[in-house]
Amino acid sequence: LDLIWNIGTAALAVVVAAFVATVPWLPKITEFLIQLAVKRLPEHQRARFAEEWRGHVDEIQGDLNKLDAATGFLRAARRMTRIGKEATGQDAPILSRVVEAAAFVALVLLPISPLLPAFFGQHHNLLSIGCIIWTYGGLFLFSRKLHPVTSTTLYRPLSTTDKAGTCSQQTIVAGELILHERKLDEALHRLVDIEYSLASLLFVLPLFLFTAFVIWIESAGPVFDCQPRIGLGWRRFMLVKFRSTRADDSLSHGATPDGCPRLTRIGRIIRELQIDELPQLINVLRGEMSFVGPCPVPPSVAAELQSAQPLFADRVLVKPGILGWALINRRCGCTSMNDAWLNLSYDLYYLKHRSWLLDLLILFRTPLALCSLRSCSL
Amino acid sequence: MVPSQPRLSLQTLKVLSAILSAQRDELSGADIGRATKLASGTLYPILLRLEQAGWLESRWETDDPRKLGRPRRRFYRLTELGVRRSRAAFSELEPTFRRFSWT
Repeated sequence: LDLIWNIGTAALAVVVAAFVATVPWLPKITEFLIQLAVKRLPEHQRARFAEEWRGHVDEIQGDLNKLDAATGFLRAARRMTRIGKEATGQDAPILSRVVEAAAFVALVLLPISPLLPAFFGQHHNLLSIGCIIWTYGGLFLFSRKLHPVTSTTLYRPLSTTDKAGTCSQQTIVAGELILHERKLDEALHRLVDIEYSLASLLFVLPLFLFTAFVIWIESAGPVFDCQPRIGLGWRRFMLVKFRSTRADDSLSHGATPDGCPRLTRIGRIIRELQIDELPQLINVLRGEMSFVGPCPVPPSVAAELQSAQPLFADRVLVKPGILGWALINRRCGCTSMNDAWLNLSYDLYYLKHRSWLLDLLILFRTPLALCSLRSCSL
Repeated sequence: MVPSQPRLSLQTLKVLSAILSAQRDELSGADIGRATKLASGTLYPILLRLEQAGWLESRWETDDPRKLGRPRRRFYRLTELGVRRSRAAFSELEPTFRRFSWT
């Protein structure tokens, strides 16, 4: 009986295989896909591309390759309908809008999550959170132009030769990043910044006061050390830090390497633990910095890098931040030009892909990264 | 509505270089796809964009499709403007083509 079974199934398999092989399924699907794709195009292009794409498929060898090309036409048609509309801005895909809305809600709820049960009664907990999500989500879903930063010209090369007529590597990779930020996005960023700086200030307040007290005890001079940095749109602001060098030397404002004798004992410890960066929260509260963004850079370094890397100018399109993509990906601090290039490329990546989701990701990865990284103190 | 300058993405540059360096002066969409190894979904939007910007022009194959026994093909060629502009773009880019690591 087993033998009959085996022969039976084998025969069935052969028949099915023969059926599949003889009936031209793949060309039929291919033709169907082309028709589907063409329907998506505007009227005046349909006839042309229906014929052109059939010709394209005809030139390709192999049924599977034809099918692959035909699925591509679906994508092509969707993109082609958008050509010409780009200048006026376009809506982000619905999925990324949902993800963005969720990321935004998560970002907003994260610092106040311990308070939520107290705010809302126990029974209405889920309902209330649902309401918040619905509100914020709706805000995003029905708004245009979700991604705040896009590069409309994809780092289009600008001038290639400098005044001397020589062509250096750095001058060529100049580009143009254009910021499309709605007023609403700006306001929401500010709100999130205020929320985060307030929440973290409250959280670290004991440590903050203790550190200030210890610095005050240990050596004469002010508790905070204010250093000039380049902010949004090349505006200078004073970055607040805990003083880690001796007061008489801090006037020089030069970068102080770790292990330098100018460092105080407390200074060495707080630098090691990144505590000297904490007062930057005040800058965030004052609106000069953002919670997430590119590293703030001193004016002297900025001028130097700007002359070497014209793309550096794109960084001032957004506020500098305490945390950043460059910080978690690589040790911040330009020891060589190569490092500077790498940091710049991380910053540009952040600018181009800036979104709530990326901010959230940076936020979550920072504690991990901080274990192995050093401070962003140029 | 004619966009003045198409965006010079890496894919666009690939398409331009494929047409520039081709033996024949006219290529069909499938030829360009083969040369650049771009997926059809990426290729045709670029071709349409370049055509609307006046860098490319296209025409149908002149033979009768019934005699050929297959669909007509459409051939693309660079216009004067396209040749000039893409040469300029390449001469600007050439030395650091590989530095665009973050785009």
